Amino acid sequence: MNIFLSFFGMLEKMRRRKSRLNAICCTALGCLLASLVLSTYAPAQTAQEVPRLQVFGGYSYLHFDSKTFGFAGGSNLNGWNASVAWNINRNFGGIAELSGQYNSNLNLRDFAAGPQFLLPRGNKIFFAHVLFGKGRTFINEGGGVGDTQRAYVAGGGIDLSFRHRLDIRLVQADFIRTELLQQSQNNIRISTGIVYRWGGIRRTKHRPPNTQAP
Amino acid sequence: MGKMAVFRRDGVIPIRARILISTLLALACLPGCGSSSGASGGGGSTPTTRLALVTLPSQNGVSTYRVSASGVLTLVAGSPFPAGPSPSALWILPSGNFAYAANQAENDISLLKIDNSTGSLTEIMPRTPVGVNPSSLAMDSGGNFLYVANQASNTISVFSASSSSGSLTAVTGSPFPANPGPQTLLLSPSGDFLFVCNPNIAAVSVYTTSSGALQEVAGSPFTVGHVPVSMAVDSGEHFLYVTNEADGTLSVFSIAASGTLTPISGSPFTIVSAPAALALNTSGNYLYVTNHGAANVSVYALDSVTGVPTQIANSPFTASTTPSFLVLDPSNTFMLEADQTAKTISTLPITASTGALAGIASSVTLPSGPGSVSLTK
Repeated sequence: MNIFLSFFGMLEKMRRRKSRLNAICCTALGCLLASLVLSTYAPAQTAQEVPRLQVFGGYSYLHFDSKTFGFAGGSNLNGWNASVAWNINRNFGGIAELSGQYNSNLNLRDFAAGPQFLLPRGNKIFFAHVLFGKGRTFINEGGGVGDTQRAYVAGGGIDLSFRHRLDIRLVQADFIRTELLQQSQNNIRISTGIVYRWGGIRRTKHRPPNTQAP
Repeated sequence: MGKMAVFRRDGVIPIRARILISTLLALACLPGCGSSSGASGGGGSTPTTRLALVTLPSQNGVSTYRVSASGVLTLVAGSPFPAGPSPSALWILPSGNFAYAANQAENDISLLKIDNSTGSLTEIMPRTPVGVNPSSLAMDSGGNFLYVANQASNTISVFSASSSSGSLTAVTGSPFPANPGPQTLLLSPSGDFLFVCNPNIAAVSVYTTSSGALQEVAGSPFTVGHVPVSMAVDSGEHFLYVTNEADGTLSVFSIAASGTLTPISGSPFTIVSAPAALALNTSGNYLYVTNHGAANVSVYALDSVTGVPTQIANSPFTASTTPSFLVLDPSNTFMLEADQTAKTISTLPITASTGALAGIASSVTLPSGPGSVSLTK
């Protein structure tokens, strides 16, 4: 936990300094740390219990479709992603997310909510969601220009049980469509981080039929 | 777990699964490693498309557009970028990293840094003072010397330009005296001759250049039609073409080795209403002329030996209402035509084999009338 917190702290410091070299180093370090954690950990449990409430926070990378803004190509942005999910049963729930990704030229932030589908398998929970909300960009060129418009998010990922109340979100991949500055953008976001969970939804047990002896 | 099994039932991750997960994580994070060198101008991306820079005098700014291979324009977010007061003419350095804008309301030159990744412009201060009412800019192909026509002070300022910083230093003797009302400049491809339109006296002046220093050639200024406004010269420097807006004519001169101009047989040639801008394609075999008063563009095939222009079949071609300027794509794929009245820039595809135009394929609307349009190389 501390390792991840310090990693995200470093990312935040990096963003403030707008140091590209630091961004590369921190991201590479993050990859290394995550790999080390995965290769050394022992799972808290073998059968994943679907939590009632999941709170996710972590790093996210976004490939922004900035060609629609007149840029020569797409832009690579780094930032954060956070979400809260409430699961109604073992296979269905709702989720609300907030994320922000930045580079020195522009940023994209979004808030979206919608249904989420779950598929628990052993120590893992696969999930997929379709979200609707708002996206906001600010382009730090010239006098600066910003816009807030509708955003659609579709994606999914895998959570892996890590500790008693903690999961690792191995990967979350999302397609984000935004309609900013009178253009449509097709963006790709990849996130990773930790999930804190509360409560549990157990599988409904099937009672064996009564076999009362005559 | 079946075929999807990654973890064993005892909860221990097999080596193969660890490798797989680590690889996935690394892949997920790798794009982020390159993030700071993407469109942020850190050097990781190489622009593959051109930029069109459009001066907007009434906005005191310059808008930039990303230009696709077919000539479709996409406004760069943040446009118009601040420049000096009332920027009119603009010249992009051969490196494509800097541009100069002539500020007619402040009598100076702004240096603009171009971020080719984002398309944004940033003015680098201080501005360089020039004469009164700078109306036109010209630069040699090496980007060594910048020439500025000071229309109201009847002079031409000449500066040496730093390719690395774009900074300007006046050459010895600058500003050089010019004939009355120098309005439009054109440097020959070799950089040896500077041609200057003088609408006030219905003439074109010719100067030799030596390390930026100007020397008027014998016989200059040379008489043309009324209100000469635009010029073009072929790559071999054999012929000079001049549009005379008030006459509706095209003057054509042969250029001697000394720079002396001699009208060719038949010059001036009558064309259509109020010819404004003109440009030669890179092959030098077709000449394009915007007809400011006739909402069209005339295309002429040029005789490489005599220089005589012959209008091609179906010319003139429909353009915007009052076409003012034109810029040809270096690959001869399309023409950008700007309209000061309609406040538009239109893209007209070119048929390379015939030089013909295919009409307006796309168009963008500007916030105000453009002062000039320039394309990066």
